[in-house]
Amino acid sequence: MTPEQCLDDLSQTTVYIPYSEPGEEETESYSSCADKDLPGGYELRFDSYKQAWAKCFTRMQEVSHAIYSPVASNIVAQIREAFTNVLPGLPYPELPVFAVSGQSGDSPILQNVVVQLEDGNVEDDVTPARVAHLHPADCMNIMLTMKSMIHGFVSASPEGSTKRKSTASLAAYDIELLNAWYTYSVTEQEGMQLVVVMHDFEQFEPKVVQDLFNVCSLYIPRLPLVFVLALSSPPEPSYLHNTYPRATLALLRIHNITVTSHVEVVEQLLVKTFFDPAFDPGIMVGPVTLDFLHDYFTRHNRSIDVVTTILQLAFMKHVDEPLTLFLFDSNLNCSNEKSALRKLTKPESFPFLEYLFTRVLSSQTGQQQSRWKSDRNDLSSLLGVITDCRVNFHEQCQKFRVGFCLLLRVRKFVLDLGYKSVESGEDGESPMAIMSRGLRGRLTKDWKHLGSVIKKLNLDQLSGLLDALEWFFADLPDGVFEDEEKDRKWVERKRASLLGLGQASSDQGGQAFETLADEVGEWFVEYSAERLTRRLDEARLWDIWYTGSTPFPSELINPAPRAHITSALLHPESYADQIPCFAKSDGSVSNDVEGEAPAVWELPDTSILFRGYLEAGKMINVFDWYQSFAAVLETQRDKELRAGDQKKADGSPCDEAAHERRRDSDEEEMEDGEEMEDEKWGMEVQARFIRGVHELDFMGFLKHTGRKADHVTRTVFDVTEQ
Amino acid sequence: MVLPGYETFATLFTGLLTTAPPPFIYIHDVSTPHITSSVISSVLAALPDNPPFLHAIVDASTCFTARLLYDTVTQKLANWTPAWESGCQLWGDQRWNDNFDGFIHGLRAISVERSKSSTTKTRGKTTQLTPKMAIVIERAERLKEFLPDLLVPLSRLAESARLDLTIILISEYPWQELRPLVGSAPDPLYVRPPELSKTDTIQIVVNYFPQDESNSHNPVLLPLYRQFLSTLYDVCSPFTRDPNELAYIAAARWPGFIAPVLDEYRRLRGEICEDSGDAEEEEFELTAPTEDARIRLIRLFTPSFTTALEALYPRLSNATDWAADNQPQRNLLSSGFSGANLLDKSVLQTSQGSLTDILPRMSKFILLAAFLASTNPTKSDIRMFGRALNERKKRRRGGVATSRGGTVKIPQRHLGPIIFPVDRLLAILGILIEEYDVDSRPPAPEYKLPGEYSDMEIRRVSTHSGVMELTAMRLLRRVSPPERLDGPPMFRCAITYDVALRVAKDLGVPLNDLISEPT
Repeated sequence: MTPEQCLDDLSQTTVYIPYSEPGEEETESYSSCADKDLPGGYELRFDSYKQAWAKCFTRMQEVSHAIYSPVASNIVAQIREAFTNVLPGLPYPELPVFAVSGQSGDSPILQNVVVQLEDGNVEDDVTPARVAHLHPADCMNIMLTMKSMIHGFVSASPEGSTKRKSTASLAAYDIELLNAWYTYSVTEQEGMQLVVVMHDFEQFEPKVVQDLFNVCSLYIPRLPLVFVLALSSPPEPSYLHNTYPRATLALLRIHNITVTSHVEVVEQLLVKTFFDPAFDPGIMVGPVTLDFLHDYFTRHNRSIDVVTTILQLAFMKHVDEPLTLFLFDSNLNCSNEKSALRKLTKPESFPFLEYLFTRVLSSQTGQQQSRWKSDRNDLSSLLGVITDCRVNFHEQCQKFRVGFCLLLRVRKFVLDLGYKSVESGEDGESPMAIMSRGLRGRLTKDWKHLGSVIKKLNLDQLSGLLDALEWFFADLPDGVFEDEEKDRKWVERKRASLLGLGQASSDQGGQAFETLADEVGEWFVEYSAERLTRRLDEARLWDIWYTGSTPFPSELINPAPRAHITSALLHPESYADQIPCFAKSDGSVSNDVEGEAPAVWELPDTSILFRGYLEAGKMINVFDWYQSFAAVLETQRDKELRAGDQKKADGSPCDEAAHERRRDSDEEEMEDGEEMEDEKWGMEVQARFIRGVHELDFMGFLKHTGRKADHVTRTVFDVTEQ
Repeated sequence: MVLPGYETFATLFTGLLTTAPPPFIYIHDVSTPHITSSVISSVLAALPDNPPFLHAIVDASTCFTARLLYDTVTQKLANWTPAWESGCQLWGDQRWNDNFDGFIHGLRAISVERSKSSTTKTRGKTTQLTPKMAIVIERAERLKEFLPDLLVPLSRLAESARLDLTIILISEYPWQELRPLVGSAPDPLYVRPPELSKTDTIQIVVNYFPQDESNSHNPVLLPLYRQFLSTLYDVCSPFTRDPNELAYIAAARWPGFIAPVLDEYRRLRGEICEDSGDAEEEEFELTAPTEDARIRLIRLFTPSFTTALEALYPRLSNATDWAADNQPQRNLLSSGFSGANLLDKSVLQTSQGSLTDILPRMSKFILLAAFLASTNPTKSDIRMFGRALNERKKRRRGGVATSRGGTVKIPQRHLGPIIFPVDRLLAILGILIEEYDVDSRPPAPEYKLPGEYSDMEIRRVSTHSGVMELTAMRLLRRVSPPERLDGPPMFRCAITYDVALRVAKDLGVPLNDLISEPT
């Protein structure tokens, strides 16, 4: 979509309008490293990113769905029996309210609940419930709230279209209307429940909600209304109890539902997406990204969405590398190898080809290198090498995953037995940290320790472990299943001999058992060492499929805009080479010596004004500010004139006095013209001042209080870098 | 059936309505307006039908617009239920809900309609009887809020409609609170229903006892139930005498209370069946426990009544869940029981997923900073948090509250949170994370100056969004309107000292050292 279309689209929350120079018509295709990229490579890589991300995202959704659906089913079951499972002897019927805490926005659990409620259950003969959604924005007062609730129920039903005369019939916000509709439709669907889902419950006006509960409670149980509240606040201290009076709470039967802690969900999500032998994510995330993810998740924002965003960003960042063109195949998005080769041999592709050669060459052994150097035109075998590397990497990755999962399984088994010592770290290291350590190849201590623990297990425990191992191997997907044939058979044999031992006499068996336990321990250490020692970034051309230890662009997720604006105003020179329009046309910035800050007069107007701003007190006298600005501009003009003169003099020696003299004589000669020019210059200074002040004002640095004439108030004081 | 304790009231009220009903009655019941309402409705329902007495009972809290009030009253007086099939058509061929005039016309139309159908023959002459009417408005205090302009017209309804009509307002507030300042509302006939005595209250609650043949609500157990209620009443009466509340607590406690009796019954039945085969099983019936067992039961369970009151009266838990959580151990009566076991079980368990588990680390710091900003006076900030070089230890604890000058200084946290601008919050946050969060940070070699990391951290987007998120959770309250762009947004912290203490403990922050007036 073009920006114009986006601006017209009401559903868009943010529109990106790329900067384009006034003269330029079309911006070039983006590339961060144009010197080694294929023409159009960015688009191709973006396509493969989309493919990889879609695959990964689908997987993550499946996993989170699998985690959440039992929780949702439990909630649904409770909602279904809200009116049947009632304590006898209550003085009045209560309004069932399910407060689901820890929900923000459109949470997957609530969606799941709603879907299950609306589906009903054909086998158990459960009538599907009707669901109405209330959002805080629609519920400014009780009338609107009732209206949207009743509308939510009535309009969704096929009978809802009955024509009503607006004046001679019940009002659209009258609960009697809902009652009439329900009495009519319940004849067809017996026991139909009415579920009201209130999203972002904290944002509702408490007074309105009180009235809503009041009205609804009078119609219980004639109308089987059930409320589901999506709370983002924790269940303890309870928002409901802190906000609503006892009179309202007495009408409700509140069930607090706490959803599984997000940390575990994220851990499972990551294990199932990136460390599951049954799934290949396309791009493997590296330890740095995982560490950042862990840190950001525990420190700043505990939501699943944030995990998705971070991974997505990591994927996007990853395809910045030109070689990721070969993420999925070596054909460069062409139909076959031939056209890919043709594409590579075009002159525009040479920088890319050069880069490719260097990379591939550096990854080869000496003998291969010499062969490659001699036959540079053999592009097809070059592509072949990349294919080999891909297969290699995936094999290694798969092995790593199997090894890692086995380690996790054994660790969990041993932990369940009560061996707390296998937990490294102070109070239980999270699986996320283990993942990142595993990718860094720093698990040696863990598996050695686990191996020694295995050797100490008793008969029952060991047989349990071998059972677990056998299940583990049996659960492996087809492709991997065959690869692990040898170890699988080994485990089976050991298990069989263990079973034999169980029947043997105790004395003899004890000895044999010890050797067996030793064997299993040794095997585990060997198995893990074989699969987990070699780091993924030791493979050839690993950086195509693995993000490794490239730093995560955290500034994109969590920027500090104000600090950046201030620092850009203070040191525009460090931003100038990134934004070409900032650099002066005569190149005065570029003649700076590296590391030496430019003089004030060399800065852009806004920065000059900002320097003045910092020197002022709490309030700034605008006229003083203008004068100091004008003084700086005068210097600037002088220096520029001098530079111009110098150019005119064509390098001839020109000392200060001579220059002054010449200027003086010039002034006398052209006094009239000078006056005109001065006036013009004054206007220019004023205009530039006004523009600069407006820019600062626009960025929020100024406040017009009107307390003192010709003064503005500073808003920013704590500028650290001077 | 008239509720116990209300017999005289009901007779008097019936007499009042049947002889010369006053146009405007105000019933003021401080403690149990809902019970009074139900008495009134049963009185109205029992009124003789000749001449016809039409009545409508509406709840003012459902009538948030005038149209709703008119509609509800007319439909109820006309005894008409709008049906969905006929497009929810209202009664009558005209529109009565336009304004107060229309409403009056509607009332007259109903009166005319009913008088057609009800006739009486006196001396061979057929005369039409004008029906009497009563409109009862419960929770009348809500009228003042929703429809303040209607109070005066409603109080003069009989006059303006020229009908034999009584308007009855029921409220827990006195009429003086509701009476509009301007406009002339006539003084109502002021009625105060009787206070309920203990026996009446218990009798009302006994009426809620669902008598069925199921074991726990067997009619045989009714005397025991009465005794149980009497004890419950004694425990709860200092806090509430509302029959509904008592019934609520009783409903939650009864299943647990009766469980030992039922266990004993099942055990005995099992023994008898073993002795004499299956034939006699049905004949062995549940009987009320002996006096001795009753006393033991009540003594055993009385401590748990207080627990029930504490959990259920403020609705910290609901009756169904509470009953399920507080079942006594099995076969309590036959086993040598001790009260301590029972009490242990009824202690409320702290629920999972508390604040400290759910919030991310930074949000906890923000919350703590907000608590400090709301508790410490602004002028103490430099003293509490100011840090010159090597002057960290110079910080003094705040002055102890002295009674000099006769006034005792009350700590701020007892006076409620003070409002603070977001800048102050961020400044305190910066100090907190600089002092207490350094160890858990990821390495950041790009920040060289001391304190630079914290300085960047408090300006980051996620810190600001953390503030907004806490506001969305209502753990912080935004005091300034969101549409005001000028000046920093103002907040107020909404967590208690205890919660703040828990958060601080979780983060390893010595909260009491940071409060300027520690207790």
